[in-house]
Amino acid sequence: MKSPRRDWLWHIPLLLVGGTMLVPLFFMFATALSAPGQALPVTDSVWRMIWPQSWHWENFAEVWRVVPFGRYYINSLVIALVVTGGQVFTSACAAYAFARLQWPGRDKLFLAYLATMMVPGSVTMIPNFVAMKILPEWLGRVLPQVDWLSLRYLGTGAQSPGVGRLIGLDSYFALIVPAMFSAYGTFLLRQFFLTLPRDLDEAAKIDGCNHWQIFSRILLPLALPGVMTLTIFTFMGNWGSFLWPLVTTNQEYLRTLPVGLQAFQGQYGTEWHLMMAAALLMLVPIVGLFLVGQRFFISGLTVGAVKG
Amino acid sequence: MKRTGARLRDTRTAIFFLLPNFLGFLCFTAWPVMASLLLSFTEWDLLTEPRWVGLDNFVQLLGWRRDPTGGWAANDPQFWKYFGNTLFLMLPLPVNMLGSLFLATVLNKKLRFAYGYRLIFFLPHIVSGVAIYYLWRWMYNPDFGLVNALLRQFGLAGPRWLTDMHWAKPALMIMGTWLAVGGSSMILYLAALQGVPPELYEAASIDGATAWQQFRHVTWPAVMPVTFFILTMGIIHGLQSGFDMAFVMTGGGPYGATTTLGYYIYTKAYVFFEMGYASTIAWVLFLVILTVTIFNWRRGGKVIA
Amino acid sequence: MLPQGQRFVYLRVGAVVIGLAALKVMSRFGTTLHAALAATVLAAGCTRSEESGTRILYSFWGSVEQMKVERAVVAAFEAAHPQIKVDLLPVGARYTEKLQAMMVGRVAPDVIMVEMTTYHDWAARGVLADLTEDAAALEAELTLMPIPRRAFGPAGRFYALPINASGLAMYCNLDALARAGIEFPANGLTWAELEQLAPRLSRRAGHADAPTDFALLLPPPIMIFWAWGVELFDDLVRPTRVTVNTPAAVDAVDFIRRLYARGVAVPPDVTSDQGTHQLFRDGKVAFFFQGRWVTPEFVGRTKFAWDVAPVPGGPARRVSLHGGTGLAVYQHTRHRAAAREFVRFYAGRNGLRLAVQGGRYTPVYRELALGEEFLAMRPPRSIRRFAETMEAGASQTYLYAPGATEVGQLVNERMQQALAQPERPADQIVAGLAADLNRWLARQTRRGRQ
Repeated sequence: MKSPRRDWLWHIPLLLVGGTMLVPLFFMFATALSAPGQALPVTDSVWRMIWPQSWHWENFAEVWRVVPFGRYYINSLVIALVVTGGQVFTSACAAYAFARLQWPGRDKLFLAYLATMMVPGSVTMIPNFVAMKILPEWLGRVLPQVDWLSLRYLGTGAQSPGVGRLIGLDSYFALIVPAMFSAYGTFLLRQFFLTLPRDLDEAAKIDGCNHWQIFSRILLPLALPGVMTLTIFTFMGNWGSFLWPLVTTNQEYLRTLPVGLQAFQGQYGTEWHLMMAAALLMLVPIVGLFLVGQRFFISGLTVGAVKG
Repeated sequence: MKRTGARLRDTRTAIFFLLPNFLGFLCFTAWPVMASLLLSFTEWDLLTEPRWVGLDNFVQLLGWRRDPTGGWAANDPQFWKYFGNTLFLMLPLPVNMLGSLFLATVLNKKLRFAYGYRLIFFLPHIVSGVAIYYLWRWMYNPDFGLVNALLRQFGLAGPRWLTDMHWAKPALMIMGTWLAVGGSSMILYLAALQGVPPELYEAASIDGATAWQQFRHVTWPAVMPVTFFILTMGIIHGLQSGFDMAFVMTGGGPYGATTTLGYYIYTKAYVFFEMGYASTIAWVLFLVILTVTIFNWRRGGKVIA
Repeated sequence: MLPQGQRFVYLRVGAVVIGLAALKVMSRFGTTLHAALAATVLAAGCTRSEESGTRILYSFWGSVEQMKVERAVVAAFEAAHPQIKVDLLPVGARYTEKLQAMMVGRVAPDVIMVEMTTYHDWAARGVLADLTEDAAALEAELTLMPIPRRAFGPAGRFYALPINASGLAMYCNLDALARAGIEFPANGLTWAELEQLAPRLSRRAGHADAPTDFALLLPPPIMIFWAWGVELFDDLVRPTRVTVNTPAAVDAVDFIRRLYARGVAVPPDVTSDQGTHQLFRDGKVAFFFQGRWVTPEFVGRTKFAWDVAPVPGGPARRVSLHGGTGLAVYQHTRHRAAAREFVRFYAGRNGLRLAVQGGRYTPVYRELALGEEFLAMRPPRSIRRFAETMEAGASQTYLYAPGATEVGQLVNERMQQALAQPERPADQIVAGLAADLNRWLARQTRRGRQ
């Protein structure tokens, strides 16, 4: 029924759209490779803007020198990994409790979880910010022996404290802990667990496994697609998290990548070639993660929408 | 099985499994919702003690008063302006959806390289975030950016884009379309379209239906639930969004042209440290979103993502 | 900072816990818990050993030139106090907001440069240390001029030491005045006289032979109000009543409208945010109202001779608008003594002499402001006019209390309305302003800020 001859016509709009998607990224790449102060004015040819005119690969190295980009990268990595690990682990455990165990108030509590998913981030962010601020002052009254506000160095220099503050604003605690708990993860994994048949559970129980073993040895491996989806989503979400690190940290050594990109905006103008190079470096793990976990990503998008 | 015994054991186990997540949920999600409401009845700058002001914040935010120079003046004209900005920036939603639907339809035709196309279309959505906002800010640079260069090729002189009061919002809307059209909406449409058995199309064309009629009677019903879902999610998301974009690209826009409610909450909370007032705005936003959600639910749509 | 003994207790406990964890044969979960616990305890105990000497952090705003001035003062201070090191923290845009964020996060610098309007806000919130003693110590050998005293210590207590607090003067393009046949108003004009002369200096108002495009930029409207004898509030330190709704205020509004309607003043859309001084520098306006801080923009950069005169006087009085800069010490600093030393040095004779070299400050002590060294800093020849704005009654500001910025915004917004809607009666505008200020005052009182 289909006429294959007319099909090639469809490639035209597809190519156009694909080109539109790619051209800005090429421009980004070309700028990243250009020399400082050599941005082409708009009167120049568009092709020369998109295709790199010079190949200053050293810009990528310069990015690490001009600002403490390495620190930003490590911060982003560590925070994203810890948050993802924590979130996936706690969400999986909670999902098991919701999906496989019977206990009073279970469904009501789950409804509460669902209800909070409707609340916009700005509502909860403000009290969390306030909590982070007053926590060390509070703890200082409860446990005054420890100086909660001072910096911990762990052997590194004064400019770049290894650990910084234990708790409060401008601490790794503030960057990691509030982000580790999400109702969305619990919801997603509960749905996954519900689709898994109970026969394996029963069989394992008869064999004398306790709940932890059922959870870790049987259910988790089976729910791996869901877990992978949640891991990828959480990592990518946290990697690009901007507002929370922006407001809770003031100090250089705590910056994550999205916030740290601002460092390339100088007082007298932005160094776009370095900024674009840094942006590209920031995107590399994301694109890599996506390419590796594509099917989880796609399935994660659809599972929430198609199910109810 | 002994019911009570199993239940009791289950409850104890459940506590172990649930505890970390539940504690976190309590501390960082559930309690803050209530705390935020409480905060909105106070005035607190985090440097001095909080002060109870009752409904004063709400009156200041939503109220109107008579002005001696005639007419009514809003107590907080900026709130209404930024609310308007937020709604305006959501205008491209139908356009984006149609674009996604179009792309999904074409991709569904199982052409060669469909996989490659899908990957390329999805790329903007993957990389979206602060890095891309900086890229687009550079692209919108009136003197060195790609957008004006492209316009120049066609003989048009581009405006100052992000620094021009009238072009800042359209600039953000264009970028929004670039980011959204090949993104999750397209994937969802693709999934919906792939759920339509091809025999339906064959049967329709045998019955003499034109392409348009096929679309209207076969494609559209299959796609309508997804459309509704995307629209609702788009509205809910759009109401809260706009901060990252505005902060990176315009700093709130020339004379507040690109400030959305999310950005307004940011400035009130973290720039001026008016925690009470910011909580008030956040709660009003929450109530608006709640209204949209309930409206959607009443019409039979799905409640949650 | 934990004392030595306590730190070792933590280390020992940490070691014991790790040891136990290593010995125990447990499930993965258990060891992880132990390791986490141990790590936390160790982290709690780890600190850096105390360095010899103190380091304090000093924040200021300003450009590259300002940095040079600050470095000079810091170098002189460190030479005089070898055991204290000062780290500089220049903060660019949004100084107030960034500092407030640092205060909220408890990471604020030890010494903070403050601008007068935010000074009152911060002092009221208790984030600045009380420096009244240091102010008194400095006054033992120098006399503080009345305006800086009022600006930073209106109720007798100082929470910052003033380093600069002069008012606006009228910059005059001498060549343009000469070509228009106008004598340089060395002792200041009146607003009525200025209104008369202005057309001769405004090419854009239709006088093709005028030497400049416009006669002036509109001055801050509040100065016109004051010149007509209008006060916004009954008391500028503790306002309780709004007193702007008077016939004199209506006259003042009419005057501003007349000035604007004649076309002798630069319309708002021609001015850009930062570049108003460029209009004077490029010879486009003949009169320019601004403070001392803008002088370096003109020295050696103009093609004409220029000087400063006192601001015009009105029917009631001649009064200028002043600002101010001071140095404050953060309330929760860990190095209070060192910070106070630095502030006392900077705001005293030694520091001020160096700071004034940057060309942007007017020293706040009578001996320095009216002394040879400062008055010899030419151009402008009449630099003493800046010093004179610090005499009692010579200048004032919106409020010597929190909220001055909002009050200023309310005044400016109403005046913008007055100019944008010339058909609206002036008494309605004044009534509107009074209503705005009353609302503001009521809110402040309700929130316990006044």
